[in-house]
Amino acid sequence: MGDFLKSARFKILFGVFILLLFFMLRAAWTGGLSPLLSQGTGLLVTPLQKASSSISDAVSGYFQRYVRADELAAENAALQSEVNELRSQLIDYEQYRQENENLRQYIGLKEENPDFELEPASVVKRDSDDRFFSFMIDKGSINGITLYDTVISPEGLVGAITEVGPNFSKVTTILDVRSKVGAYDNRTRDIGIVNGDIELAAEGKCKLTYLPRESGAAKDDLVVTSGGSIYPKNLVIGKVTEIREGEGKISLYAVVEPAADIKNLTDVMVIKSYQGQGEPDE
Amino acid sequence: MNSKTKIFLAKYTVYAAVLIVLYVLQTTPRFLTILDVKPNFVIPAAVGIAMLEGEFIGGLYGAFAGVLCDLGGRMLFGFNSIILLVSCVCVGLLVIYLLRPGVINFVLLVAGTMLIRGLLEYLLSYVMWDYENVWMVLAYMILPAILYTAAVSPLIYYLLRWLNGKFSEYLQV
Repeated sequence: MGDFLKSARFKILFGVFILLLFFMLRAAWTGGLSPLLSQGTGLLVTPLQKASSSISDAVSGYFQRYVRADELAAENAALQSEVNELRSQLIDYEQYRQENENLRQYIGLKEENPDFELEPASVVKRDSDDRFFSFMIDKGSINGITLYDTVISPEGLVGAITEVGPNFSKVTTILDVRSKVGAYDNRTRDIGIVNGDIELAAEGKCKLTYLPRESGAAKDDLVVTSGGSIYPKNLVIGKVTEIREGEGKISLYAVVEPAADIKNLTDVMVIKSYQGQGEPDE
Repeated sequence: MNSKTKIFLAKYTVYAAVLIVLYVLQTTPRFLTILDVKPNFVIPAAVGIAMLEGEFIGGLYGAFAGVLCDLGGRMLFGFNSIILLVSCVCVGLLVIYLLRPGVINFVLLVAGTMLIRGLLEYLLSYVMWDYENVWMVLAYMILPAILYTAAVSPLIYYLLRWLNGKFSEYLQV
């Protein structure tokens, strides 16, 4: 053991340790900017992840079809091939319909907000130990994406970019306890902060905090962004499912079910710029 | 470059490729996800390499595995790299001085490494920030992920041992 501590191998390992420590301090200093080492690795593995994600989608689609066809075969073997064929066509049709619907919704968003500069992206990675469903997308700085750009789905707000590499970016979702979004109840106009909660995140929900005790917020109210430096105004966040008393009973908070299906997203849109970006929160 | 060096080079390239492939599998959306818990493949692979190759090579591959885990991870870049570098050096030394390389010891070392990393993350990322219901992260995410990873880790150990055996055969020839 003493020999190891005096050996050249130990000195090399110690050098690597110091290098990693330097990268860690640099990452802490520069915020979400991806260090060179991370960018290099990301450049290598992101295309592989993209391919793997596509294969995973195709394989799971195939197995779903197979299981369904098997059930039908038990009911009527003669109709199996026909049903399979019809189902396959239906899946294709459904995919096209969904894509069409998504794009149409984005077009509507673009028409309502001509100042939005949008960038479509695909989800290529979900971290094995992320409790708040953060994910990586296949677009990065070479596509004009910058730190804290807003990420949306056709249904509503998803989160913000918190790390940017050349060909990948990390999205922290609104379910994360570190996420804070200025928002208001669209009916009562009560202003609050939407942030993640460990317990609610497991159910795919977040909360609208700091509602005044006399707030008239109620179930099914729509919660939208109040606008500011990171998030554009009036993006749909979700709807209220419950009103609860806050800590110390001095305020209320609303449990919010995000409009976007954050756990199962496969495609998103990044808002690269909008009018009023960088201005202080309202 | 003699043939022995070439075989060593091929072995270390294959180890790096295995780590990258396992990382891609680990981060593929929906792959092997049970109740929102996914296993970690990269940490068992790094621990396995440290068991088979000793503290120096193990430490270097531990650092590489950590860089992969840090890529887009929730913690500050360097967190996983430093923990895995130190853990894999310790694993290599433990196998040299105290433990026999076997699948049971491997599973225990994987679980131990995952537990140290999980507890540090729990402390630094949740407990210190005083969020509500932090215990849920430990009970429903960190511990199940450790158990799930430990359960699938023997497959990775056998894969690495097979690769190591093949390269040892080539070296003997």
